[in-house]
Amino acid sequence: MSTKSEAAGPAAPVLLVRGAPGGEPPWVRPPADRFGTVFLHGPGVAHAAAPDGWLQRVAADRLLVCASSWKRRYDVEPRAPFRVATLVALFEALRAAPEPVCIPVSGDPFRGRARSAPARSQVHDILLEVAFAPGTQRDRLEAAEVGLASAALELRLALLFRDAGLDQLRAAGGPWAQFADHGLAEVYAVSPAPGQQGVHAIASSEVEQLRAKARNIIVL
Amino acid sequence: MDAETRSVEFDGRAVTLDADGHLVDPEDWNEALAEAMAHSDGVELDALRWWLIRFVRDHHRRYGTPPLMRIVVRSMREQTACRDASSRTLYRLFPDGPIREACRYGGLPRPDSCI
Repeated sequence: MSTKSEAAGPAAPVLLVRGAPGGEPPWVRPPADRFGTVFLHGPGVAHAAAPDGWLQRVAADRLLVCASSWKRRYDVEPRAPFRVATLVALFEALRAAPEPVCIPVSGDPFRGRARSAPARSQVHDILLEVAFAPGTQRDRLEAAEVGLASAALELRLALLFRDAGLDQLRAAGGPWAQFADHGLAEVYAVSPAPGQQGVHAIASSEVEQLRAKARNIIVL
Repeated sequence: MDAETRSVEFDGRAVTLDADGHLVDPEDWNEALAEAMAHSDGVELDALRWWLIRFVRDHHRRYGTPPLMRIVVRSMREQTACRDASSRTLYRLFPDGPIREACRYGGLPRPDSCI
């Protein structure tokens, strides 16, 4: 494990890992990538239980594991240098170092926009992109908890459902419905989207416009 | 029954609570049981506390999660005479954690989210 707190500057990006172990993303090759905070969430907490995965070699100031996600899966504390934290720690880290690198539950890793091209007019603090098909009830709930945490912190939040994530909207009710019902977020879905109250259907060509208005893009 | 649960007698039947005092089987819940649980804690479930318990139950039924505090505060302002409700109002109702206690008296599992 190479935890190099002295090497990473204050603006070192956040790495959010939600994908379960199963292969090193080709672009994460230490020491080329250094991170300020690595935050494991949902199925991604299994990396902290894997003794010799690629994440063990990533250089980072902090290796944090979502307390709830971990507790739902394991009865023991994660081994050092991993330590449990709440989702608040993720959003605090993003305040200092926006534009995280995301390893979502499925699909390709996401690096956000180039850091040389910041958003021109930021309307949303967080754009959460939901691109994975609903799996278990727990997976769905944990993904929604990322949004609920940012809403609890009263961050300006937008949700975007796209690709397989559109299926998350097809079931009536469920944790995602409260975002539109209670005004916790602006909710968008890429057409053809299932009709649901409070969800704005947008064309795929409009996704980049939405991203351009966000300070942070998190792909779940 | 495992070591972390306990059984209490209510209305002639045994009801099982977990280590945190939440019903193990939500189907056991009814309003009389909630009153009895609160009474044993020295808490009176007045109209506002009942509003909160019912609101949390309804939210959980619809969305599968307890409500955020900000949702409860805004709804309390809109739906009750408590027009200036705040998180402080909720903590006065249940100082040990308004949402968690509303879940407990409402027959819902202990919230396991870190939010």
